[in-house]
Amino acid sequence: MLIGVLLIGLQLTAILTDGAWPKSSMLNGFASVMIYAIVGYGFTFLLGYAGLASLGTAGFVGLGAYITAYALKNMPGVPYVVVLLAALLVSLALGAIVGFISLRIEGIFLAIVTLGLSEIFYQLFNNWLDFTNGPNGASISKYPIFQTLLGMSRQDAQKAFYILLVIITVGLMMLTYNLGKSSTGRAMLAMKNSSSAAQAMGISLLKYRLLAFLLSTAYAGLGGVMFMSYLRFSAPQNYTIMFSLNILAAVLIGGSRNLIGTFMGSFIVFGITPIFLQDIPFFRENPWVINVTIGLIIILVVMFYPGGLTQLVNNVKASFKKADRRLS
Amino acid sequence: MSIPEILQTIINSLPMIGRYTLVTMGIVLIFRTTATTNFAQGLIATVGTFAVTWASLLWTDLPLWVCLLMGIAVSFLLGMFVDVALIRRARHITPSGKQMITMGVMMILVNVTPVIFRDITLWTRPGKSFSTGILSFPLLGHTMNITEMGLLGFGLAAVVLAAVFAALKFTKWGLGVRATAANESVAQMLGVNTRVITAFSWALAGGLAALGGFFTGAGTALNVTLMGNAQVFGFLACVLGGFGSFPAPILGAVIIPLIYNFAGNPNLMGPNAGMWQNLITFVAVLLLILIFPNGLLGKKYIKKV
Repeated sequence: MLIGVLLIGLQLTAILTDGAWPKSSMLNGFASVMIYAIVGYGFTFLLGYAGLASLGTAGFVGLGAYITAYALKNMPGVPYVVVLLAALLVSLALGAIVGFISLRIEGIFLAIVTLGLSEIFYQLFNNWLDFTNGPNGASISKYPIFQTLLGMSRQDAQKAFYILLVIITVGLMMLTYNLGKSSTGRAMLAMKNSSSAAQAMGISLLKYRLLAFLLSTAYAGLGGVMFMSYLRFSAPQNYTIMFSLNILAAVLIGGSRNLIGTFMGSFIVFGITPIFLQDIPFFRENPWVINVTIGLIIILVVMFYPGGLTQLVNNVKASFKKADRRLS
Repeated sequence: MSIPEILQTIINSLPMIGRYTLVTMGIVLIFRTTATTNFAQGLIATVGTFAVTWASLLWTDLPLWVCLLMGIAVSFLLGMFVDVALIRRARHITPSGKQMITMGVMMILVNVTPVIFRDITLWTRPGKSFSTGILSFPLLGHTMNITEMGLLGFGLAAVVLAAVFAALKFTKWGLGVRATAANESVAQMLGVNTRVITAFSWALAGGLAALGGFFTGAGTALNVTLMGNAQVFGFLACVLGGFGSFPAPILGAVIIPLIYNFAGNPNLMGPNAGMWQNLITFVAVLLLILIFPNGLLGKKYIKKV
């Protein structure tokens, strides 16, 4: 909630100061952080709750994006909501397929198989020219709803879409949080810790694995729709294994089950470069530095801080409390 | 498809079989000793391949095979370094966690490699090659063609893999690897120095992959995605064959190039076959994996609580 207020605040400041601060590149940076965070929330169900490692994220996001691009471009009569629902439905169908695969293939093999699946999507995006426009990438000319339906100017539509994005992000955050606290989340956690023990307690592996994948692919599909709607361009190169790895990194850095952590993780992985480092010449000329740092952070987090940022914050809090007690 | 065409397609697959079996062997060695899949395998091979071309440019009067050995040494050391510096210290972490560490290594190497080798404009320069000739020979009354480099790659891969299998079977190191693969803590208790065994397996995996990388890069533009396909197919080969034994993944690495080359045959799959070659191979392999989730030669693994 607080994040939502802050993000909307940023946009309002931009409107009030007439674009002097924050700059629109910074706002776009935050928008992409939100889009990736949405995908990340879906991924927490897999990694954080169900303990399933999947590298297929890029394919699911790409599919959502390309469905949006295709429908908005070639079927102008179809309302945006229908496009959104269609993208979600396709994602869900796909999630069901992968969910069933996950029942047959477990653990680290699942990562390999989903990696193969992601490669299939990449090949599709690259070669199915009628649907995706191939390596040149697909684009849409106008912001959906605000520009097409309400007739706003491009700048206003962008601002309005930004606010819509904040609302969606915060809404999904609350949904994810509540689902995680519900019996569904607890059942998934039980499954993560020991699938045999969970089964013995009457938890259906079929149901919850499937559900984890369904949720995750639906979020990813929605993320793809938002990606296309806000950034209005996508190319197959966006959806390589690096995308899936970055999402994994974002979720890991955040602390795999903590939603504010996931947001911060997305911010570190996807946001720092466009928001701050774009203006520093050194980083603009050497973009590899930040990626290497992300790689290092992944290794360090996995090896020494499996709880991620969340654990760091908690540890700092605990040490403050300790110091407090010692003083009093 | 006529018989000579089928034969020619099989022969066309040989170079790829050579390269993929080398990469796959490395992946299995690591999987069996460390219980994780190394996502940096392709990049470690790529660094070695870059090093070969780099060395041959820097010391122009050095024979190429010496440069090749140097490249293999680079990947050998890099593989060992990853194990000693990271994986060894992460022994208590789950297999998925170790997998993520190798993904982190991959991310670092992807970004650092172009920077290290940028100074001599290695980027998109064709990889070094021993020969560019094509060899024709008769087989069952038909004339077959294969590139000399491809044949050399296949031959070398066969010799090297035979040597690795012999080493696994007959040397003390091989016994150590098999013991570590069966049960690391018991092997340790029986006096096997599992640290050395594991580190050497990682190093050997790096070296094998670099050899495969050299033959992949020969004559084509070098870039960091050079071994991307080889790595993904290598993983899939392991799952397809079954991770349970050393020869089974090699079988997978033989089958996948065959599927790939038949899928790319225009007479069999239509004029656009080249475009959909990768896709068809991935789909075919994934379907095979779904039918045989334990691998073609794998045994059913019964989980104990």
